Amino acid sequence: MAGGTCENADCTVATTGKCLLSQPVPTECPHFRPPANAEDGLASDSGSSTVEPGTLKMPTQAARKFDWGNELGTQDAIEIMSAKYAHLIGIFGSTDAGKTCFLSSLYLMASGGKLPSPYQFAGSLTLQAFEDRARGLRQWPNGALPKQLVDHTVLFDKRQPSLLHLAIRESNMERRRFDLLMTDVPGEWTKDLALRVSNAASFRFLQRADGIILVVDGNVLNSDQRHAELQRLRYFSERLATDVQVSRDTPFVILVSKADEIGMQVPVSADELRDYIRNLGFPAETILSAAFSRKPAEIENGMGVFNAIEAILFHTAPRNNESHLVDEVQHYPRTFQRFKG
Amino acid sequence: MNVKTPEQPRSVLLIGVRDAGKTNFLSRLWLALEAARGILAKAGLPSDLDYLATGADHLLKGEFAERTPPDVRDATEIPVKNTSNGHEFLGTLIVPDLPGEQVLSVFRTRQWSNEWEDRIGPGCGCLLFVRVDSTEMIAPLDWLNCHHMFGGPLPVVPPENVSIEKATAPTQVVLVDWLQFLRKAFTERVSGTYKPRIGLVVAAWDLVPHDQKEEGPGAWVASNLPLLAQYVEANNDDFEFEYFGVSVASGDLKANEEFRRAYLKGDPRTAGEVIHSLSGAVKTSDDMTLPVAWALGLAGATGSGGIQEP
Repeated sequence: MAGGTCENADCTVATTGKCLLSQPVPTECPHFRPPANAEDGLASDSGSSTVEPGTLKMPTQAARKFDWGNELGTQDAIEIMSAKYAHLIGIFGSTDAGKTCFLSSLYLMASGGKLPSPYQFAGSLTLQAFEDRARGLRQWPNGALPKQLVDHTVLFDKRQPSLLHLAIRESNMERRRFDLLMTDVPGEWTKDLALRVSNAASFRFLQRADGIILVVDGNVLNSDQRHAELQRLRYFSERLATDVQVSRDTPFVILVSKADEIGMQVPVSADELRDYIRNLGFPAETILSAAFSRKPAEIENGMGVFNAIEAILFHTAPRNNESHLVDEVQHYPRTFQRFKG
Repeated sequence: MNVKTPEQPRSVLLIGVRDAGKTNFLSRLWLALEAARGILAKAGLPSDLDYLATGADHLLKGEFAERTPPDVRDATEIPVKNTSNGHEFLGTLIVPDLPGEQVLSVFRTRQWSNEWEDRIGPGCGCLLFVRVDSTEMIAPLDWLNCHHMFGGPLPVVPPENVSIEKATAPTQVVLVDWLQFLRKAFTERVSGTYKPRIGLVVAAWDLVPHDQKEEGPGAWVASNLPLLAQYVEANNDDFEFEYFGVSVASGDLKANEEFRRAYLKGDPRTAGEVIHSLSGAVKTSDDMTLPVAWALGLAGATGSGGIQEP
């Protein structure tokens, strides 16, 4: 380590060379500060460097900073929605139901050029966040988690309730672009809302949602635990309807995960949940999914994942009307701002 | 022929991760500018010739130039002229060859310094490099190689040669984020409607299997870096993209001694080839200045057939 200190008083990088925030290259941690006499790894005009190669790449004065590529907070989302229409999709479900697998599988489809035709990957402000999830690097930390979406996230934050961004575009003549903002929240949120109305404030942003995906584990729905799981999701859905006041034209997808393990048969209780949600006044449909297929030769990886996205995108077909879009671009950021709590 | 007043210096940024073929391309470009047989030719010697001459020496000796060390920053300024198609250009070409470590560092730290910022302006073009068979190219994740992250049974052993290093971003992710950085910077420094020319260069094209060569470099990128290829296709109203395959020797100087002997028996100054689709069909050119000339707006875009002023 060629000198340097950290802004964080608890970090011992100066003496141990180890970054408190586990940055693989400690000098690239945003809190790292090089010694006063160190050259700027990029900005110097000098052709030589007195710095040990590979130890100092962090410009002391950046001319331009870019988004972190991690999760987005509500303020970040508002900025995006100020510029263009974005489809906000809430993804909920019990712990281990398969929410992260759903997001990772969607990303892997894009990463491998496997989004169904005519859709193509068109960009993402959270590429690193997707990568981290797919690599199992971004687990929920132990202990209490924030009860609402964060405003901003930065590189060194632990995983927090936030949003992921993925832009897709049609490759056909229409070439429509869809910017998806998808929630990434822990399973506890689903349970907490079901149990306490006081948690409804955290969900108010869903009044702006274009769709809600309820992820339910197919194995659970075929087991003795199905009654309790179904009851929990009924409570949750009712809270969304009555206490969060999600608009009744917001489509719900009941995504039955791990369908490859249940013989691709829709569990009866999944349809019961769908009917319950329809009775609350929401459009709802059931979709089987195998985000990570255990039998890829028979059931394709990612099966059903994009169908859930399509079900939401095309339920909102009237919003593709251009004059309506202009209104939404102007209206929704403010609305979202109001809802974020 | 009348020589125009020298134009403002124009930059072509060479962007690529480690071992992407930038240094060898720049060395070959210099030899091509000297030979003056392509769209661009030198209009004098650069004030600092050391870096270019060293790289060119390697190629003239029948060996590949070594990659740029992490602590080297070279912003080669080459006086160039163009006299093709009646279009005259006399200016300074600034081709910074920054080591792949710095490109990765910008990706990781999400910021760049004045050295990058000052290059972003009207007339600035970029060449993004990937090298066929590079051991530094990190393959994209797929369901197979990250399946175990989710605790499920592995259906089969992950394929060999697929890196699943936890902290290393795939090359296609780094390059897509770089394109997003560039778009943001061009929008703020030039305008949102300005379409910078971005050439995607597949280096060591001679190593591409024969059955894949016919389809051209665009198909190779789509097959090996699908996220990047889709981003390019989906954002062609924000950028002007073009694919190039380049081979600085048209063969492997390192692994094929027979080829190396033949290379040295010929004229190593004029070796190399560029594969492109500027006229629509996949074609091969011996003009090694073509990618840079295109990035500067001195060679036509696909379908346009003419010269486009930046």
